[in-house]
Amino acid sequence: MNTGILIFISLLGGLLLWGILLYNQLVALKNNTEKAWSNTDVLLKQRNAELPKLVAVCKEHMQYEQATLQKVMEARNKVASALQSGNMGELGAAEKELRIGLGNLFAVAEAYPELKASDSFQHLRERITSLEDNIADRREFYNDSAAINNTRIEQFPDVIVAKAFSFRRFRLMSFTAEETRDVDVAAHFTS
Amino acid sequence: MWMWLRILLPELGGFGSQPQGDRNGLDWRQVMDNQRLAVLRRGGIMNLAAAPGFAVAWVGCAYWLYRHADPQWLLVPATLSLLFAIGLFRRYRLIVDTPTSRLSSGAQGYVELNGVAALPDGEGFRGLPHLPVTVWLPGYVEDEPFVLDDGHGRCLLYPRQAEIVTRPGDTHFSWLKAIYPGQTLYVLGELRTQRASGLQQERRERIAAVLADWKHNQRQLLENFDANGNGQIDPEEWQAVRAAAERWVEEDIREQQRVPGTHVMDGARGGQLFLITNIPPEELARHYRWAAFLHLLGWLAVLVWLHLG
Repeated sequence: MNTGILIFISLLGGLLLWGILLYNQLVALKNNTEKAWSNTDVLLKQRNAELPKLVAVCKEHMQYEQATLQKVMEARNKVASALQSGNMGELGAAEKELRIGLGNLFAVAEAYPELKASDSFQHLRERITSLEDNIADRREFYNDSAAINNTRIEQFPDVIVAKAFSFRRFRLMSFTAEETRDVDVAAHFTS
Repeated sequence: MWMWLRILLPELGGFGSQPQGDRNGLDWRQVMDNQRLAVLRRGGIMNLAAAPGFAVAWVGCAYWLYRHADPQWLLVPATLSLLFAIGLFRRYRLIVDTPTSRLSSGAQGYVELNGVAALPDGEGFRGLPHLPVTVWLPGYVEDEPFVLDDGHGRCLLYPRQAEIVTRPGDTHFSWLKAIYPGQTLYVLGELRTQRASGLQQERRERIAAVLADWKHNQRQLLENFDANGNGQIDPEEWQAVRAAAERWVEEDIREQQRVPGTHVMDGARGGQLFLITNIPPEELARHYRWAAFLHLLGWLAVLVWLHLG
C-alpha cells in the first residue's frame, strides 16, 4: 500500500482515538460528580429523617422552647425543598439556617438535665452530629469533583469536545463565611 | 538481543544486585524469578511500556525492523506506541482527576485513597520466612485482602483484580518488590461500604418477626404481660406487647447504626483502572505523562520519517 495513505490513516486513527479518549474522560468526570452529589444527598436525607425524631424527643421536655424547635423544623423543610428542586444556592442558605438552629437547640438542651440524660436524645444527638461531620466530608468531596470537572471542560483541547457535546459546569456547594474563617483561638481562652 | 532486553528491562530478567547464597534456607534466585514474572503480570503491559528501559528497547526493536524488513513495517511499532501513549495518558489523567475520599465518611464511587498498609486484624505474619513481614508479595501472596488506614478510617482492599505497581521498600532487601505494613499507599478504584441492610425499611418486618417469636413462647408472654392474671393476653395487654417489641427493635437498630460499615475496594466498574501502588501519586502521574509523551513522539517521528523518506 502507498506510504502516504498509511500515514494519513495512522494520523486520522490517532486523532480519532484521542478524541474518543477525551470524550470518555469527560463522561467519567460528569458521572463521578453526579455520584459525589448523590453521596452527599443521601446523608442530607438521612439527617432530615432524624430531625423530626429529635424534635419530638425535645418537645416532651422543653415546653418553653417551642420557637427554637419550630425554627429547626422550618429550616429542615427548606433543606428538603431545596434538595427536591436541586437549587444549590437555596440549599446552602437552608443548610446554614439549619446548622444555626441545631446549634441553638443543643445549647438550650443543656438547661434540661432530664432531656440530657434521655437515651433517645443522646442517641439522636450522636447520630445527627456524626451525620453532620460526614456531610461536611462529602460536601468537600463533591466540591473537588465539581471543580475538576469545571476545570477540564474549560481547558484546551477538552473544551472542543465539551462544547461539541454540551458538557455542563456543576455548581459548587458554597461554604458559609463562618465555616471558612480562621479560628480565633484567643477568643476561646477569654470567654 | 534477549540479553540486552534483560539489561534494559530488569522486569524481564535479573541483572540487579542479586543476593548470594542460601544461608537462610531460601532459594533467592527462585524467589527473584517468581517475583519478576509476578511483577510483570500484576503491573500489566502499560506499566512495562512506561518502564525506563522500554524506550531504548523499543528503539532497538524498531532499528532491527528497519534493517531487516520493509520501512513500512515501522508503522507496526509506531501504532503500538500510539496505543501506549493513549493508555498512559489515560492513567495520568485518572490520577490527576480523581478526587480523594476520606474513609471517615467514605464517599462511594470511583475514588482515590491515600493511607498506610496494614495486615487484617488478627493476622501477625504474611509472606515468606526469613523475609520481613509483607502485606503483598508478588509471586507468593497476591490475592489475600489487606487493610488501608487513612487515619480517619480503614478500608479492606481485595487485590485480586488490581493492577499493582511497586518499587522496593526502604529495607535491606533492596531487590524485593513488595508492600510492607506501614508503607504509604495510593489506591484508585471503586469504593463501597457494606452495612447491615435496610435498617429502617425492615422495621415493620422485624417487629412482626419479634411478635411472632414471642407468640411461640406463650408461657413467658403471659408471665411478662398478663397484667390482670386471667391467663390470656387481652387487647390492652397486646398493645403493651406491641410497644415492647417496637422498643426492642428500635434499640437493636440503634445498636446497628452505631457500628460503622466496612469500606471495601475490590475492583472497578466499566473497565476503569483499579490501581494499588506504593509510589507517590504525583511521581507516578509525572512518570506516566512523560512515558505517554515519549510514545507519542515516537509515533510522530516514524510518520515524519516515512513521509520524508
